[in-house]
Amino acid sequence: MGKLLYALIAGIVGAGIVHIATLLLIPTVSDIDTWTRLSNLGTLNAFHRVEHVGETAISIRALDPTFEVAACRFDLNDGPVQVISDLSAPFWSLSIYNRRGENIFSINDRTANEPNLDVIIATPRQVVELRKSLAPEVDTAIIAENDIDEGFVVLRAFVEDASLMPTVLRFLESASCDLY
Amino acid sequence: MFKSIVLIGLALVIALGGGSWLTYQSVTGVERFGGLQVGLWIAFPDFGTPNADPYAKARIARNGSLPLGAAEGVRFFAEKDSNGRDLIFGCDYIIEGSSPIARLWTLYASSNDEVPLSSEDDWPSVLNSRQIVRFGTNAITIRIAPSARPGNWLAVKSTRPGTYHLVLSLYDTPVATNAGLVDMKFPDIRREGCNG
Repeated sequence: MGKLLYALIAGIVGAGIVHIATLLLIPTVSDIDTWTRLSNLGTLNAFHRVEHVGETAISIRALDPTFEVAACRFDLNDGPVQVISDLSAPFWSLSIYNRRGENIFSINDRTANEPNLDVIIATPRQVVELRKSLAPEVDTAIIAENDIDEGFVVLRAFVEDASLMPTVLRFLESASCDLY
Repeated sequence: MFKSIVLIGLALVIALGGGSWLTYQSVTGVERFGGLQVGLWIAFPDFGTPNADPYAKARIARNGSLPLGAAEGVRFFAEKDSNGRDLIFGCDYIIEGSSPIARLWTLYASSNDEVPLSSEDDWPSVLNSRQIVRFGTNAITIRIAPSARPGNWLAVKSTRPGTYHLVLSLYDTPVATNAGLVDMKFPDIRREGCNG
């Protein structure tokens, strides 16, 4: 009887250890994370529309139906990335996520310097290089300094009613996400 | 000898099975930890940020969502009415109170696994702050019903009985960056009657 109790206690303690171990492993080994889902949409360094429903929709949860969303994956090991558009929309916001899908930087059209979108995503080391280069674009762009390698940037635009849909889609299509 | 093998086997089964089961239970279903409750509404401002707890980190790695950043906004959920009952299909609800402090907000009903409910017949399954009728004050009154209602109407219907929750997303809001949240008044959700 004492041995059975011993085995039960060992099992429960073991369950705790297994629980903690699996929980901490999930972010590393998950093959259904947001990055993987977005990779089904297309290549790096291009915005792809994240559709709500339809055949090409990837299952992204909790997507506000009032917003149109586009996402672009990048790898800062290839160089800094510039997210730029010459159009605007009634309300847009931009978020940068790391490889694990954690939101690490966000702006909206009013916290940006100008209503138009112009953000350069770079690592601290690349920012030093950018400042040294004294390129005029660097003065006006928002420099999003993030110490990451792979990540993705998500652009959301508000669709107040259906009549604004073409404007918003043009805005999302005009956004580029090329290496700077 | 045989007895100790059985006991070791039992310990292993409890450890592996119980541990995996606990992990599965804690990363599926509705988020429960670290919420910020304002009236009937709850938000998880740290969810999907590097500051999140290990449970939220495991959850974000599995559920494939794009959590809002602080400059974008904050999302509030409600799953109970003012009497503490679950929100169920087939009942009418009235959402009443002052308009949330935000540049814009949206309201929609969502299934319990966070998929927005849509209506095939172009009924209003989502409302936003710029299209609602306000009757000259900052107060809002929104009716949730399976068939058309006067004023602001959010269509929520389903062929099967069940529960759902409401999602109120505030965009460009001081709520996301300000700790003075507790003083905020959020709209109330009242059940008005059920037809089925």
